[in-house]
Amino acid sequence: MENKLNVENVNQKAQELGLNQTALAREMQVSREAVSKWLRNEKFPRPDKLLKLARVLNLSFAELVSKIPTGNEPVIAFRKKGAHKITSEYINHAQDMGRILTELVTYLPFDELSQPAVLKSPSADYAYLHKVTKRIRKEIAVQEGDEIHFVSLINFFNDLQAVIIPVLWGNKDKHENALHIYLPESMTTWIYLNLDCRVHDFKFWMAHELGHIHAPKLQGEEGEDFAEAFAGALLIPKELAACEYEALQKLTNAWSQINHIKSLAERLVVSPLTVYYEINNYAVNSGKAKIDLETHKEIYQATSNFNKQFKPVSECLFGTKSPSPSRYIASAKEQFGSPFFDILKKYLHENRKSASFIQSILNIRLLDAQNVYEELC
Amino acid sequence: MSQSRILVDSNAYFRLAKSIHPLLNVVFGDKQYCLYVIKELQIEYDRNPRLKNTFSWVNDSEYAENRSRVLEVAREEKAEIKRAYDFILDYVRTVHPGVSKIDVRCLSHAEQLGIPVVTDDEEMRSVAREYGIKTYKTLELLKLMLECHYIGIEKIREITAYLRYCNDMPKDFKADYEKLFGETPPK
Repeated sequence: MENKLNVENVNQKAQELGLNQTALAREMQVSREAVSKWLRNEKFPRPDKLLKLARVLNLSFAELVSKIPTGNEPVIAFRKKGAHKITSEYINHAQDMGRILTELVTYLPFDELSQPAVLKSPSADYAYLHKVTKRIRKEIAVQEGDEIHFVSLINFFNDLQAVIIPVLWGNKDKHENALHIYLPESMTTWIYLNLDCRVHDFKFWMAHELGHIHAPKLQGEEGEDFAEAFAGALLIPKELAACEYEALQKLTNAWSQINHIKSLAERLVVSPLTVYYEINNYAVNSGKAKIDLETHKEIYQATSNFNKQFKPVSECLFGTKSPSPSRYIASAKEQFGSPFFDILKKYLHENRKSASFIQSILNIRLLDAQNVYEELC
Repeated sequence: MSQSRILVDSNAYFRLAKSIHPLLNVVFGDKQYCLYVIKELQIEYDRNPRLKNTFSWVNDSEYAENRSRVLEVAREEKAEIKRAYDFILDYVRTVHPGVSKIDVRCLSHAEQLGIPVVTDDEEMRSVAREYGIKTYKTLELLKLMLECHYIGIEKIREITAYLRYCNDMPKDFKADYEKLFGETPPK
């Protein structure tokens, strides 16, 4: 973003206060020429003068400064969860994290000359998505009815040069289990994955982020819709959905249908809700009647109970609720093949950064940042 | 004579609080120097760590109690601190994105109240310069404490050796130490 003085607000406020340019310059302890250049937007005030101008005119930052988009701002993607509204504060914060990540770009161990291939014309069309995901499943040699293992997904992230940043953000039930940041200038992708997510949801979050990486040009709602549909199609192929649809039709009541879905979900390590949605996606796109397990919220209740049986990813990985900083840091490389902490360590050493930098880049508590800092330095 | 208040940033606090205790709210020297942290630092330390914590001393009652008497701010100053925060935050976002929000808050307090900040962070020092905020490096604060006969050179050597051991030495640490104390830093 480029900053420009909101000249209209300045002039209006100065007039209200009876300040012409000369008087304003006197108040500001700068030359009249400097004020004149500011008001013609030929020069932008130095940081201290800008704050002083705000105080002299009693204007807030938003009233005094207009933000002009430059096109190089970090692109943020969040997975939508229900009707939950994402605050502008959260988006600003995520963009701040993107700006900090920019500092690490030169430390990435990636090829500087080429970029991994992405989808040519991505769309959320059912048939198209299943064509794409079928090819992906073939590449990793996973049969239609089989589980896609975490390691296959992780390898995809690394092949596509997306940097995974595992984080421990606690139990979140909205959009905060993953954060996708694309830096247009360096064309790099960074993905924060919350390890405190339930294991069956985690795989969907990962697949969703993989969707974003395959289609970096799709942003906003369009990008989210694509990533969501991509994840479902990748984890539950059309052929499997068709087969399970027929199987469910043969079952006589809702509870036996739910039990069938749960056993499939357990085998594929995905949420029952994901299985249910994908079977119905198949039904809708094949002109068949949907299976209704929502009238009495049966599927939601069943999914909630199902999830409670399983631990979060962090506990599965570390065997404890409070892992040591060294185990946490090691897991990034060992479990996710991520270079993140290696490059962070190098950056910290070369630039003599402190724990507060770690707090900002990982969006964690200060004491956790101190512990990570101690481990890295 | 009123106090000469000095704000300590989160990292400087962490570097010194265990070795010089109580670090905060103790007046020293003819100019009545007194170190403070901002309220937000205490709030931050009140949040339970997610990782296994190797710095349990931070939340021991004696340290938490020492931090609890934070810098007092009058109501009219709060609004101006908030205004300074918004401006400094935007500047940091654009030019020095690595400066944390809690440190921006620290700088905005210092700017409005006209008091210095102890920080070793080069980016923070650069931001402080833009806003006319005086800064001390940790070693400069130790020098001030030494001149005020608040601590002796042995304590400074002990702190220095500890920071070296932890590999937690700010930029130019060795040169600064030699310049300020006229000796090579202890190993």
